[in-house]
Amino acid sequence: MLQLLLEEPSTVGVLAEQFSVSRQAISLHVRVLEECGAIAVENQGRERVCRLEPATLAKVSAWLDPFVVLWDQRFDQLEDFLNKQEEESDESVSEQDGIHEGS
Amino acid sequence: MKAFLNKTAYTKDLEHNRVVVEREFQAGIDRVWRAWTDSEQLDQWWGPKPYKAETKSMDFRVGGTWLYSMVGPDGGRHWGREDFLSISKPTAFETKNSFCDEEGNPNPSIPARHWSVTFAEVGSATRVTVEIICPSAETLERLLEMGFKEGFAAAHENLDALLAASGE
Repeated sequence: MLQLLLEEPSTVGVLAEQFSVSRQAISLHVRVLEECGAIAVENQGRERVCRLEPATLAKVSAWLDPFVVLWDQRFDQLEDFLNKQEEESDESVSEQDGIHEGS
Repeated sequence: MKAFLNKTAYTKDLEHNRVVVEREFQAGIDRVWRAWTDSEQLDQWWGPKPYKAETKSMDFRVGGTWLYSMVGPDGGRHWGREDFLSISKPTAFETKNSFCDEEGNPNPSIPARHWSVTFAEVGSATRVTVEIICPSAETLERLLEMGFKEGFAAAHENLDALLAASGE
């Protein structure tokens, strides 16, 4: 969607025609992009016109770097894993580092 | 008090074909060390979604190898191996990291990278620093492209989930 808007501003209706998902899904996606400041949406008569916000996109471009996405996700998963482990060891009585035996 | 580094920090040092990623975890150093060095634990977090890591063999000692695959949603596998060059429990280990086939034969089209993973206690948290050094600018570029593929798969899956959740 951002790719399309890169070429020119577009109405929500025209954007929706480009994708094989429901109109509601497109509207939600537009709202999410608007909330995070990636696009601006302006009412023109009955149409809603979306345009890119280049300043915001420049700020997040580092985050969009695929290598960064890969490591962010990997580290998020490690964090979840460690948190889950913490909860489990809270439930068990006296687990110490290194002496936990698997089944 | 120092801010907790709960977001991944990156340093790209293109001049030296080097990338550093860094992050702090709210867990003791021994637990974080184990998550990185016990293959049963690695399998649970190493693969970036929608890939899942699966260990074929793990021999965690100097001269030993971790041979694993990343299994995609279509069942396709990408194989990788890490050869352990040095181990200083629980603060650091170094590996030679390569892509390979199922038998561990390195993929000749992309040279191996040198990884240095260090762990440091920061109060009750643990800081993990991964330094990846490539033998050439071209290898670094290839590596970043591969991140591209996997990272994009991850981003797309998140978008799919978002769209599915918002469906009628």
